[in-house]
Amino acid sequence: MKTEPLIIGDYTFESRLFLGTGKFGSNALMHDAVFASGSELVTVALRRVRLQEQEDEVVSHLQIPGVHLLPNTSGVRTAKEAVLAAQLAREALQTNLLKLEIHPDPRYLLPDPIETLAATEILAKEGFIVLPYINADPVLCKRLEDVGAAAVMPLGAPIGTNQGLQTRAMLEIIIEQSAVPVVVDAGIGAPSQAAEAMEMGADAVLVNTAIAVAGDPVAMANAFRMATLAGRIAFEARMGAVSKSAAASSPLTAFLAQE
Amino acid sequence: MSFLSVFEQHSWQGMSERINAKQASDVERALSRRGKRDLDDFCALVSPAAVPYLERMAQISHDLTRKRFGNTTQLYIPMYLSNECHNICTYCGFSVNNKLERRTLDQQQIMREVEAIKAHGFEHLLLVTGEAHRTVGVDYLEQALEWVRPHFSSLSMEVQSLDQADYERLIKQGLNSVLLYQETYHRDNYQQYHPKGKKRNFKYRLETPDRLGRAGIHRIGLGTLLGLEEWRTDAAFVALHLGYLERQYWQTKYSISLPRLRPAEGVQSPNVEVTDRDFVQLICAYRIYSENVEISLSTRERPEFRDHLLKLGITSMSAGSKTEPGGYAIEEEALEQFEISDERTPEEVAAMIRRQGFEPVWKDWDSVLG
Amino acid sequence: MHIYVNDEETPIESGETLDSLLSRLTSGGKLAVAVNDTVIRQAEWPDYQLQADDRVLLIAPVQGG
Repeated sequence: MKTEPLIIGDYTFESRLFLGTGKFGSNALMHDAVFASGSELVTVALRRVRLQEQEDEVVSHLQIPGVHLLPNTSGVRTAKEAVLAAQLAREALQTNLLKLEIHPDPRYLLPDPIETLAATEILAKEGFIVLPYINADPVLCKRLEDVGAAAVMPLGAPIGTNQGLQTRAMLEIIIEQSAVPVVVDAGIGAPSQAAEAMEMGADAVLVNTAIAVAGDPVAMANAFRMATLAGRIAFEARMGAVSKSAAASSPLTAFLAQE
Repeated sequence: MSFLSVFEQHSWQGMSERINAKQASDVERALSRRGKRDLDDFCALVSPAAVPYLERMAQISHDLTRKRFGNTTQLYIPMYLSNECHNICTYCGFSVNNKLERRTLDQQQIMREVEAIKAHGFEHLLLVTGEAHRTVGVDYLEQALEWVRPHFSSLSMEVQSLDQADYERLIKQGLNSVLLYQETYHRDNYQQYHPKGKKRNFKYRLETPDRLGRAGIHRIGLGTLLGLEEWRTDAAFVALHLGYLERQYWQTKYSISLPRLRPAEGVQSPNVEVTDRDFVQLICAYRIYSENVEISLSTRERPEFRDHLLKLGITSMSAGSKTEPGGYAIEEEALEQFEISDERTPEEVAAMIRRQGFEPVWKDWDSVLG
Repeated sequence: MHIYVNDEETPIESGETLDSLLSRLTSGGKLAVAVNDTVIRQAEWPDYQLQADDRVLLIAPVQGG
């Protein structure tokens, strides 16, 4: 069953599940999980090359038809570093797509809103399709949109915690207000949580840890594929909701009958 | 990017069919939805299928309004600066082809009006003019704002549509909000209601809220003139416009007015009847669609009807209004834009609001940084 | 003379190009290079002559979320 395509910058995606490629036991497992997930956008990080060491190239394992790479800037701590990292990522992977993440905090990897806003403005002007990773802050999302973000990626919970949509109340406001796609990133620990985000009207979800560290990552990738799709179908089908039936106090429209 | 590109994705006919196709189940879903309602929900709420749900809509609308705005009602008063106008609007008493005494207030006259208005305690003033660019252009408006600014905490304006740079000038002089009604979103018929004058330009008017948003205005007022075209369809276009603006100009507040066509000298009677029941449905539909939008009610409506509406989603109302320039202090009998229906004094209206358990609010806010 | 490659002191021939350095030190694959914080595009590598004390940053994609 097909759902509405998702458009970010010049790219069109059928799948609304984005995958991170960290923490997999092997590159072969990562490849199989990406394939099973049906994802068309997967993140990669950038690291300094270790000299005189033979490295197994991640990119060669991700050459799957229809799959685009989304380089991130993880490891940078300031807007200035992020701009250089972005330029290097564009060179290395020949893509304008960029997941901007700036986290000076090494414990919880929480994103720095001030540096992120500054870097987004610079990078959008340089032609990058910027997807900033941020805390679930509705005003920040609008500010990022104003300076040219192509999408926003608010977190559901601290990264890697599998706690689900802890920021739900803020995510609802972000989704309501946003004029660019909203990708819920970080914290999604179970397929049901991905479905929940999609039912709320998120445009996509990004999942990494929950798949990579599952007992069977390939099966879990498949589960996330179905859950994300189910959530989106439910959203497009317009769900009925639990009735908070207004207990009728005194009638408010009785006066109309008197006419 | 402006609303025009969004507007052009919809046709009048298509919107009308979408509304009329709604069934009870669509209304139920729209009423029970968790979170923000979308345009499709609004179409259901404003559709004929929602008529049997009016009491439930009223209860929800009441609860949402109290939750967001508390037990308060804002009071404001219009001040007509001029009835000069170069437009022909077939429904308006100020039309250029109507023979009436034309007057534009000068500084001394404005200050006499200010004094009379201030005696009632108003802090929120709405300045109103016709469209006459030579006598009542941006220079005049800027000057008028400068004169009245020290006496009020909030200044709104309902005048001709202007360029962004003009709005920026007026905002510097303390302008907080601009009300500018599209009158109708029926593009073809719009031309017939506006056979002459600058207002004839549908596109320029449609894009006015975009120019206001870009100029950084604090609040924008939307609405259609009830009685011109099929009101359900027009309302759905207001909802579409509001939804677009809320996303695009997110630092701006929005209000909706529901001017219902009243008799005035030399004008046509309404094409379409909007009954009291329709009017209530419309208020409730707007409120349930947007919990944050302000809904304003003028003295065009009858006193007893206004008293009932107070509980249904209204957040502000005018009181003691005169719709002719100089009407408060100078003379009483000049010709009006439309007939006032609620002729109670501001004090009487405030007392009525209190009797219903609400606090009348004369002063909404202060600009902290001048 | 020497330069710094990813902070490691590395000897080079006088007049050595970036292209030559990279073919000595790396095994090919996707790569991006900055010299003294300026990105040098791949097309410029063959003509880019390294200077003493240049800070060369070599970056490659890896797994990450």
